[in-house]
Amino acid sequence: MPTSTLTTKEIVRAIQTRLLDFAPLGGAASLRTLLGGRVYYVTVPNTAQFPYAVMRLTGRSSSAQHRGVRETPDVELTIWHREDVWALEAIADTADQAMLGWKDTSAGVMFAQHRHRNPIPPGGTETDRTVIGILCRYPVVLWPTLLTRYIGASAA
Amino acid sequence: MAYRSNLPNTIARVNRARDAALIAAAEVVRTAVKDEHRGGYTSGLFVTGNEISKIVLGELRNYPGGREISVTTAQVDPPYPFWWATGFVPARGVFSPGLGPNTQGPVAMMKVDHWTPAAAKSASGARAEYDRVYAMELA
Repeated sequence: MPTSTLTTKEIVRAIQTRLLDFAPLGGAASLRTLLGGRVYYVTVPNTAQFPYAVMRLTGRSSSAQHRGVRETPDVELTIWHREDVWALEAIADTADQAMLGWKDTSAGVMFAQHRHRNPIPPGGTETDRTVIGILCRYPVVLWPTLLTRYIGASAA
Repeated sequence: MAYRSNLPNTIARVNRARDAALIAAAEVVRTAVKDEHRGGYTSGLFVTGNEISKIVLGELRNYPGGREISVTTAQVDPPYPFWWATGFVPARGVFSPGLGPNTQGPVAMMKVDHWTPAAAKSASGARAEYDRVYAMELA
């Protein structure tokens, strides 16, 4: 299915699809298998099963240099699991492979060129200490149809 | 006529101006972070005046190619601001969203990051303040 970048919902769906369906070299499991498809956007249902990932688009800024239509947000992916640190790292490994070097030119160019990845230290008694997390950031470049379709159009 | 270099004094003056400008710029960011926290996280119960007052400037330090200063929190034990910014899964019973202490269940995840939006919102103001103070110190 071709990607659409006409709405934020469709941009998020395109990133979720990329994350879930990316097939690592060598036949390793995709995130759809490892996470059971659980890549949420912003909020998580309280009944969510571990492991799961939460995605946000942060810093959706653009500059006048590209008439404001070239966005450079971070795809922030927080991955949570319970106790199994190596399973958690494996999920983050797969996410890194899915996002790094990703380039989609089908409808509004999206690409990711670098990444940051940090484990979240376990908390104190106020937090569930059996839960472990990794915070991944993928700075991406977007030329969303949402904005680019007005280039060349006469002012309203 | 003998020539006496004034270069060391000039360098020292430029360095002082840069440090003063960095501190001034960081204050702009710190104010923005404090403002962002004033509405609380979710209910408002978990941001106290104490937590806002502990948003502080780090020390000026060298890094390869320049100097830097951070805006951070002195509330590190327990690191509540850190947990809210990165996300955390509360222990059972920490939150009871209207259900009462006997029936409260696990909350999947909490995350309210005030730092990133504040940094983005204040970036241009901080740059302008840096330029203003730097020019003033060298005038």
